[in-house]
Amino acid sequence: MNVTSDLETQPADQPRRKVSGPRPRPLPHKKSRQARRENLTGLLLLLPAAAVIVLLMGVPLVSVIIDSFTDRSFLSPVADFIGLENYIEVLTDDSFWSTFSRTLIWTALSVALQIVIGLAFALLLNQRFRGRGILRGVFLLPWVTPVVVVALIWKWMLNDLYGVINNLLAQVNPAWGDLAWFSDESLALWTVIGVNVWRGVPFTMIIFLAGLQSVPRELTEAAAVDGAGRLRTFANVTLPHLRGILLTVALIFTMFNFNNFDLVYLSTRGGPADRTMILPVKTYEVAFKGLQIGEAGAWAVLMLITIAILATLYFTYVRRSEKESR
Amino acid sequence: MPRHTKKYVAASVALIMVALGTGCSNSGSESQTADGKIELEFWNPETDEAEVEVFEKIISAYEDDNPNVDVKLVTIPWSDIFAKWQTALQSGNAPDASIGSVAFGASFQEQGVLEPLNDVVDAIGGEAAFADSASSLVDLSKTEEGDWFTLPLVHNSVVLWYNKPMLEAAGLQPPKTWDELEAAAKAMTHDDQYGILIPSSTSQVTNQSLYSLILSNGGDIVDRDDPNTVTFDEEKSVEALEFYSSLAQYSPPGSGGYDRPEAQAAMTTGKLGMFIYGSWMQSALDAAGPEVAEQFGTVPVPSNGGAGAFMGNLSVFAFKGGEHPEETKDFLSYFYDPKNYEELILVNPTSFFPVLGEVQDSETYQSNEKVVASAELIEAVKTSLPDAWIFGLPNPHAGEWEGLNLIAKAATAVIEQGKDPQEAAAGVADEMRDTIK
Repeated sequence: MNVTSDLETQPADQPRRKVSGPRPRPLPHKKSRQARRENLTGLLLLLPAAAVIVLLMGVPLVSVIIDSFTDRSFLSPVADFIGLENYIEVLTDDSFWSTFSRTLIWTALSVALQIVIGLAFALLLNQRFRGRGILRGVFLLPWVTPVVVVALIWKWMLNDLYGVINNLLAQVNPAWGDLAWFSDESLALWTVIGVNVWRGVPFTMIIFLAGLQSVPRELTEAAAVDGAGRLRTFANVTLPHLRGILLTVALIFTMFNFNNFDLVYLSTRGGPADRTMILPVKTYEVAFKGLQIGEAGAWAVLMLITIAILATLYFTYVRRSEKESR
Repeated sequence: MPRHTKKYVAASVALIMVALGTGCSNSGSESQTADGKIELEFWNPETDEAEVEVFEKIISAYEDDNPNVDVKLVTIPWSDIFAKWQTALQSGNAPDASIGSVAFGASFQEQGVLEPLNDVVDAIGGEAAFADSASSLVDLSKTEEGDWFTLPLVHNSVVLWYNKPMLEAAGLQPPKTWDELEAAAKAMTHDDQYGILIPSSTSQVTNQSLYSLILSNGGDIVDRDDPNTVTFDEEKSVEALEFYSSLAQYSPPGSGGYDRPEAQAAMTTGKLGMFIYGSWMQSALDAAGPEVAEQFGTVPVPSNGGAGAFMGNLSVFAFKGGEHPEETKDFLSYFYDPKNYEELILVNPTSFFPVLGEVQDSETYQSNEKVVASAELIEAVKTSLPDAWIFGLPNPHAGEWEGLNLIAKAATAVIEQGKDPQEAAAGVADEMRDTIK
């Protein structure tokens, strides 16, 4: 297979970026009447969209926060204010901390593997070889497949009685054919993480692929002239260039995985014996199986606080890194 | 503010008002259609395509006979419908009538949100119209004062399914007692086959299998004479939990994760000897092909001194506060018209066992091709029904416990986490007591 870098195909006369120079002068502070009117018009045009967002996101969010301080239940039309009782109950519940730590493991492992494997595939698919276009399309299939189909496919392929993968494994070692991937307490979480990574990798791959194609050719050429090998070029040129994308993907996928409900619910419903129970599934179970809206609200608000802390840490890190790099 | 800016403001506010108005106009349930017809909303938790089709057919026939009525069928799966009912009730948007189970009906009756259906019972011929097999269902559907708040529509029961070739190869007869059940499970477990399927997931399938064994041991999860007394942690129930858990050694290792689809699919592989499960599994076996379906035989759940099995049922009820209670009752009674009722039953006779004596005995029903083909299963159901019972009734929280799969939780704790059966049962019994409080 004739493998060459895609970067070699970029035009050599690509304009170089200006790295330094005088900053543009800020606009005069005093705005003209025309500018103020335009601003107001813009704001007014945004108003309907903002109202819809407030209605669809803000109202339910506030409602959940209010409910978390009440004993609201599907079984009673009346709800009383009970202060922090739901929060105390949740935080002193034995299952909270195990569910919380399991959610962190699920999120951290999923994000790390989706990024590392996605980047590896992106590097591979950034090379020129026959059939690359088809392969890029095929690699996207897990992402475009509906999650309900993903969960069912894997549950059937990994079934201990009739799963095709278990049958193949049994040819190698009969004991492996009995592996209950989704039902064995020691395997279930890792199996669901594996399926989640399988599904998420195409998306990270496509983002990294776009990033790789924007790495300036002259930088990699300069590195080659300086005697840097492929690994060093990757570590010192490609990776720093992808830093912004990496951080954005890390944030988006952390939020996405932390809030992921469908895959776990469809494949294990949090079982066996809560071994795959993560916060979104638990919140759903408390609300729609236990019918306790107030308590479920407390679970949801604690999730929201956690994700807000993670996002704040991310933005603090990004801001600090930006300052250091100036 | 400049004139054109005012225009923008006015336009934006108008747009928002339109959006809000549109949203609000859908928030209440309409009881009349645009062409002035009376609209009834009817909820149904059965999602099987053929069953939904037959409901639609009956509704369509009713609309033809009653051109001033438009019935809107809303299908919501069992897993979601309880929460939907509750939300609809709290927001004042409850449907006019719904199909559910008698356990859910009991919960709503306790909340005082159901409309009595005595008129419908009178219209279909009174209590005498119901067959003996439905006697417990009939008792649970009405109050001590004789008011009917739910109406039994169909019923069925859990039975013991066994793989005929596997049992024959083991040189055994279908088990009738727990000892025979265990011996058969043991004898059929070898190589890559398993003697019995014992699900231990916290799911309905576990709930129904385990509950059937509790009844067959002479226990129950509440005292039927004093329904607020929970008995799930008493001797008979704990014995059944212990026995159920001990059978798990003859079950496939993955059965801890099996819910209904996986369990039914596992049965079609021909690698499983037995399964304590509902008569409704027949349709899954039929779908797998006649060569699969004909492998299976059925008998009532083996006994250990007691009798009975989980009873499945569809019942109908009407919610209070609807604008057209008379039309709703008229519509519900239409289901029990012999022609419509037979059509409903025969769409899936192994799942929809008739509650009407006249239909059970009718020539059309008994000579129906599907009924004849499933004679053994229907016989097992018929034998089981007089002692079959609905999970947790007559306690009004039965539907809630079933929805939470509470007793399955105890099986999960014992089989998957190695907890002591007495301790696991006590934990679940306490949860049940908490809901009663």
